[in-house]
Amino acid sequence: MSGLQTELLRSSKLSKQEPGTPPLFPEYEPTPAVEPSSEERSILKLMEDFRNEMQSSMFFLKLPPTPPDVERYSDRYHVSEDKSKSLKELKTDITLFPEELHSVLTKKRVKKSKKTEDDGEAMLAALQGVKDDDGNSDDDDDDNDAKGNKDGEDGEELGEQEEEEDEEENDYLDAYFDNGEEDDLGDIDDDEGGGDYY
Amino acid sequence: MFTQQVDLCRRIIREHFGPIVEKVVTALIGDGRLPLGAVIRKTGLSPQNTRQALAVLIQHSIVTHAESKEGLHIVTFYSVNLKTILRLKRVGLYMGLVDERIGKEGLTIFRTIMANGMMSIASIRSALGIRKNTKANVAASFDVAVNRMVKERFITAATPKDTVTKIDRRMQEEAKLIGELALPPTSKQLMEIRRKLADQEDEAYYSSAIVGIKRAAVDSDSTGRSSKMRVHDGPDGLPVAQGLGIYSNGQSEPEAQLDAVDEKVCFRPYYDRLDVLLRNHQIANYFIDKYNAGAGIVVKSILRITEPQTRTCRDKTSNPVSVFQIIGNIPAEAQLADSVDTGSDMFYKRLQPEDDPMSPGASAEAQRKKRSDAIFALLDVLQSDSSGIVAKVEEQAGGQYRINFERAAAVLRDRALDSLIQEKFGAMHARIVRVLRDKQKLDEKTVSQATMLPIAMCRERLHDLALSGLIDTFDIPRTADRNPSRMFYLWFVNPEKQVRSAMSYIFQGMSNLYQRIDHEMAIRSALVTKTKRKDVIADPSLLTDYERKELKSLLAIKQKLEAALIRLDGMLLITHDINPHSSDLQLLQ
Repeated sequence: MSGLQTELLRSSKLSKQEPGTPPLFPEYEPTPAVEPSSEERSILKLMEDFRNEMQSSMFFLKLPPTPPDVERYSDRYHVSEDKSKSLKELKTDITLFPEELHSVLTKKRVKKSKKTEDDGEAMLAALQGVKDDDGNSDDDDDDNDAKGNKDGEDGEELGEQEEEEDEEENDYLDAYFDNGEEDDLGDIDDDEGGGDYY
Repeated sequence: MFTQQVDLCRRIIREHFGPIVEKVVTALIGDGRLPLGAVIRKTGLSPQNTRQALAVLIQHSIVTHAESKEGLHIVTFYSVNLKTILRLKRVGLYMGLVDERIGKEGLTIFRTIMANGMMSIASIRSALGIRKNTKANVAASFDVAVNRMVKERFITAATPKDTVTKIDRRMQEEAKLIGELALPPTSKQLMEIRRKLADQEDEAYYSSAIVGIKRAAVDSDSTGRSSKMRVHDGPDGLPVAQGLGIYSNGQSEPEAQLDAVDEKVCFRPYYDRLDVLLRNHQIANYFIDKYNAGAGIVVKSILRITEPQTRTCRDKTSNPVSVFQIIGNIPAEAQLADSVDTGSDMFYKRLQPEDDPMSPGASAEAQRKKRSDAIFALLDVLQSDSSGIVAKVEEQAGGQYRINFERAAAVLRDRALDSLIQEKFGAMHARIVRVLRDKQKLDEKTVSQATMLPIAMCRERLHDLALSGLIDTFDIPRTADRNPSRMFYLWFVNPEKQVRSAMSYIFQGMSNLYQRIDHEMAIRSALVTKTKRKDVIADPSLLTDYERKELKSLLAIKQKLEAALIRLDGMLLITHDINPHSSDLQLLQ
């Protein structure tokens, strides 16, 4: 046997793969990528513009950004994102949506609180009453107090209504509010043998 | 539904609508129909965010809803439409089509509607800044573009019926008809009810009335501008806005019945109709590739004439078209004389200069005759083509021709699948599939002889194709006990199975391309963030040479990957969407 034949035999004996088995990674010639044609480039441009438009529209919903951990020099140069439009500004046919989604698409009318105006008027009236009629100040005070209380109650009612309207949009009440129905207070008036304190 | 399709749809939604909507869509795809509470539970999002996401999806016709009575409550269920999500990938093609057909005004209107899902004409007008004090020609061209888009059904009216899930709607209609019966229905009555509902659907589908457009009476004494647009057809068939006074060819407007588009009706893109136009484009390209540009022009003119009657890709054949209609519809500047040999032997015939259509002094009559001869000859060639796409249905008066869309879809599909198999497996595999498609069922030995391959090589390739689902076997038992060792196995191509297999490859490929784009953007995220800074936008020289080179490389890579996405989507259109039986196959449910 010649030296070359010996070498070939040795190399085949030392090789891990047995002859006749297919190679682990067969040769693969990737087909060359075809460059985009001019028509494809114009379509890509249209798609890019459309994608950018969608990402800056009110329909692109994203979670609020996480606050930065460290203040950086480049933060002042970042383009601040404009306050995105709300879905409530969308002009669409509301009948196409189920009722449970109407709350995110329609603006709710909030009743204007007349508390401030009434309070101001009540105060003016009260001051005038005090100034003009010193003799009947008690009666006037009583009347004004009653009126003020009434206005205050009205204002409070309006405020409560506003709070109720706001509260409908989240489930805070379900998660946190406890109206005390389940509390077992026993007999409140029971002083348990203790005396009265003055 | 395909596993790879779910991942692809998720990525498309995230790209267009963000991570919140993506979570909602993933939940709906995974579990099918879900009520609002279940969606909130599965996604872990707040109720407000979930409602917003669902509203966005309904606005873009991606999700439909249906009410169902559960005990004493009425619960609304939401379902996702995967086909509409995949159409978002084809937006560029649709916009290119609209730009080609309608023009820049149409493109602007279409893009506005696409970006908003559905919009009324009044809202589009205000979004584009067209007001009462806008110039008359700008407002008129807007009106004309809208009218054309509605008439040619690029956009269609969005009705409450469209947002209700189709299956639920059918079930409700069926329940309503069953409720009218005194007794529970028999199977025959139930079949009759279902047939009646299907007929009603077909009647609505084939109705020529376009929702959202109506003919308005002409009022010659009116001086004020009404809220409805006044547009009518000119002599060339294209709409012209009233008030311009004259047509493009100089004729003055006659008094005629005018069309009006209802400005309060919401319009959405009509994807099925746009797919029809893309299919017609592919059919014309097939003949251009196979023959020449002249053949493509003739086929295009046939398709253009039949377009108004063709609603969606469900139609199997077109309406017949006469030769004279075809001749009249071909543009005058189209060069057809060199496309086909009409058989006139110039060697033996000495023509006078005025009879030679190629000479400058040729009469118009000779030119017209030559052109007609070329068209007739091209129609003969197309009609005798082996694909059978163009068929002659009538011999009288020059003949009538129609396009067989079912054959066209099959031919285009086979061509696309052959190219896919050649790319993925190799030329030998593609040869085997072509032989099997032509010869139907063959055994291994016959395949080896027909494809001129050694039997061992042929067997290996047959098994590769069978493992991939591109071919199938048909068993013929030799004995009554059906012993597998004593059976004939015939190989054949099952088109449905082949399409299913090809679609899984296509979805996988598209998903991989998206992943690659995300990866390329992620490894250069710092550079991308830097390019969005205010100071860099104002002064690009702040980028170093290396950064500019990297940015250029990123844009080139992204362009190649997105072009590959468009090509794969084109293959999906050809293999599945243009098939008249695709709704029966229900592969994209």
